[in-house]
Amino acid sequence: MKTSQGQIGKNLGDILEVSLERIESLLKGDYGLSKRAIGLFLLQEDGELISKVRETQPDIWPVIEKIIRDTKQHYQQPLTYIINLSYHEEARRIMQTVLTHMPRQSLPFRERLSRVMINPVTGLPILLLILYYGIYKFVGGFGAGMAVDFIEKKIFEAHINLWFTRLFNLFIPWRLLADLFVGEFGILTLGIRYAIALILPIVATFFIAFAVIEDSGYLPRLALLIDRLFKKIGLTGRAVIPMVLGLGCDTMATMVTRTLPTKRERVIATVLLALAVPCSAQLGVILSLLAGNPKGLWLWAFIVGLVFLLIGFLSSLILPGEAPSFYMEIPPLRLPKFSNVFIKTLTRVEWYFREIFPMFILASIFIWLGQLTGLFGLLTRILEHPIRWIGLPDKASVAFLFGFFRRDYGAAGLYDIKKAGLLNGNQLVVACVTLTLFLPCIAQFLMNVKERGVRTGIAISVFVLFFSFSTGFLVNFLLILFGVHL
Amino acid sequence: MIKCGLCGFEFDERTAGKSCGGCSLAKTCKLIRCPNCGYETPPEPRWLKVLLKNFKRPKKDTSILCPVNIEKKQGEQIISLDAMAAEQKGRIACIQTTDRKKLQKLMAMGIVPGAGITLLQSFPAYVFQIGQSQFAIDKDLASAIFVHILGAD
Amino acid sequence: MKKIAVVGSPNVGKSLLFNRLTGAYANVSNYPGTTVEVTRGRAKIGENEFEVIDTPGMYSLLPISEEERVARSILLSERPEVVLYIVDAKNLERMLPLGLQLIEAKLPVILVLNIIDEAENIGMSFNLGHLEKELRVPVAATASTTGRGIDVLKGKIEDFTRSNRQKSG
Repeated sequence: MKTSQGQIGKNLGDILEVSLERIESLLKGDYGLSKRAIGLFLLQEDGELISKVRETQPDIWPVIEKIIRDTKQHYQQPLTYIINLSYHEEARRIMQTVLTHMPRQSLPFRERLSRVMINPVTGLPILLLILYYGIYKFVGGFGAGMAVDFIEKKIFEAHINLWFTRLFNLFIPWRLLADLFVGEFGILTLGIRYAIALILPIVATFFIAFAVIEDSGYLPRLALLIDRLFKKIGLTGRAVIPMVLGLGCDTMATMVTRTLPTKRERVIATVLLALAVPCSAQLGVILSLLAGNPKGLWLWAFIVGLVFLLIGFLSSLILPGEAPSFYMEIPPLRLPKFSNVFIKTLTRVEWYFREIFPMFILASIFIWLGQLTGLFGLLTRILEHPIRWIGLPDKASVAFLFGFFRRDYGAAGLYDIKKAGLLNGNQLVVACVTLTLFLPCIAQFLMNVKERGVRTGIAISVFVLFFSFSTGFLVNFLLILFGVHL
Repeated sequence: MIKCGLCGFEFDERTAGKSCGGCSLAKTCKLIRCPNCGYETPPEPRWLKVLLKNFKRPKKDTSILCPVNIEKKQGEQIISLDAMAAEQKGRIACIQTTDRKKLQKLMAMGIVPGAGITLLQSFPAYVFQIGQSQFAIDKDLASAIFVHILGAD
Repeated sequence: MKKIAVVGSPNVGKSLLFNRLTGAYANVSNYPGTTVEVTRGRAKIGENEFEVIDTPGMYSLLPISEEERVARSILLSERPEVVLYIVDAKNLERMLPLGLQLIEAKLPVILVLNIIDEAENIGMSFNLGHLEKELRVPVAATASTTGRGIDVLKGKIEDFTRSNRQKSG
């Protein structure tokens, strides 16, 4: 039986071919694809093309609609299935004449490694190893510790701060304006200093680590390991990508939540990112804060993890909708190519600077304005109350206020207080927990609004605000209750 | 239930309001918005709905893909992927789903009758190999795939 | 300016190949979703300059996701001179059906068997001549990570566009 337009010799079966011919004869004009292809899509009830045909040739539509209905009636199975099947059969036939395959007998090393990674028993230790070396040692140790020390002490503190302060004081008589740039919270002394000395090394090292993990093909394997767990919090294994990325930059991760298939997943992921996923900048400083206190560190990690799972679980109960299916291709493990890793990291760091850096400047300006109008002082005094409730010294309220503009500012503020010896072990842990859970930074807040809408964005911030202090209160209370001294 | 004119998505028009989100006209607007693609149309007039109800023919279920009586040769089993054991091999028999998206997803992975499949792992997710590709899916998708396990050797 | 559309599922090294053709920086990523925005670049092949469009990942011409809808719209509305259909060579059988759909739709397809090195490492070899005969479109084998086969591909693009011009008179 001859197929319409004499195509690749594929024959779909009498009725289908006849229907196709009839549709083709009705189609007039250029739809951008061959008439046979359009016919096939119409038969499969492709919404977009149906409306296109209805627009272009409204008179033929009822005829076509009838042809579609009649054809469907004729077959037990969906037309999509039959049509796709014929392509697959044709592909199989072609492959037999084209491919020669002499498979190896033994599994190559990368396949054996892959199996070890996805096996739940051996996979978990591997994950912990990657987290330890990748995040804790590389980003926390190298990124945060060494790089920060180096830049802070040798270059900035010593020379540049001093130089700028002198310069400004010399040329700008108005102390107010000079303060904006070189005051205690000035754009240059704090804003840019933090950006380059603190954030850049940490974020850059995170992006390097992430690019390496990404290119190796590990992420889909991680996704399949945690899919079951994530299903309990309303997500699927696919969400592992924005979540891990969130450990680098929550704002970027919130943008990536777009790739999650359902709205419900996107909202839950956004909430969790805003609440319980500390970004690398914040992580770096918190790790240095709790460096001498391993018990405190474990407790902090445990509490944040618990909050993550608990809130995820509750959100999945409250929000309507069903969990989508999990499916993911597992590509072969590949050795990351340096040039690739470099380009990706460069692209992400550049994005980071373009999107986040202006926030530093903005933050400095807001703080300057706030100080000028007395608003800053007022807010600090208001915050002192909840700060006291959770057992922290008043001075910490400034750190928290900063925390809204940049979460890492807040953590760094705490660092200064700790250096001054004003925080004991318990208070340190409570402060770290509360600050981790605290409001998303201004950049992330704006991204939340952009991605999820104004109402959801604000709702998330309000919830997070109350929840973080409540948790801080609870932790403090329990620590005192059980007489724990960290 | 109405079908979106643009993307073909079928939905209950009473729930369509959910996707009107922050639109300032949400309260007064009478248009129905497709939750899948956002396409907006005026609702069907009630008298038309009543009319059509009386004329709608019962829809024939054309979407079951696994025939009720699957021809079994001696020694062969046909079981769903989630019932297979690790390292078991077989050939795809059929796909059991009424969801077109699921169907396309599965076929795009190479799950077509006759294709050779090996289940690599079943916990915590179902990992299988078809040809030179490996995929991970959950129980929901795995239970839709039926496989001929080749005869007892 | 004449256009080249680069089509294929994610994970086939499409973006890397795009980079090789255009020489420009593009965000290379392994997982679907990051290429939701369409990346465009310029390529000089032979005498001609082309606009190269990297489409979002596509599994079938019948779209079930926003990405696939966008990819198909690009093919329908931008009328590319060449459609480079990139596949992972070792998964050719699974990916051929979309190629057949594209060819059936009368799009100007050139089939590219990418990541050919991995296929060869597992003992696969392809008779490209036979494949060209069966499909009646040009076929090239490349390894975008090393750059192998890119020049041959560029040659095929050149020949293809030249013969298209001759056909249309």
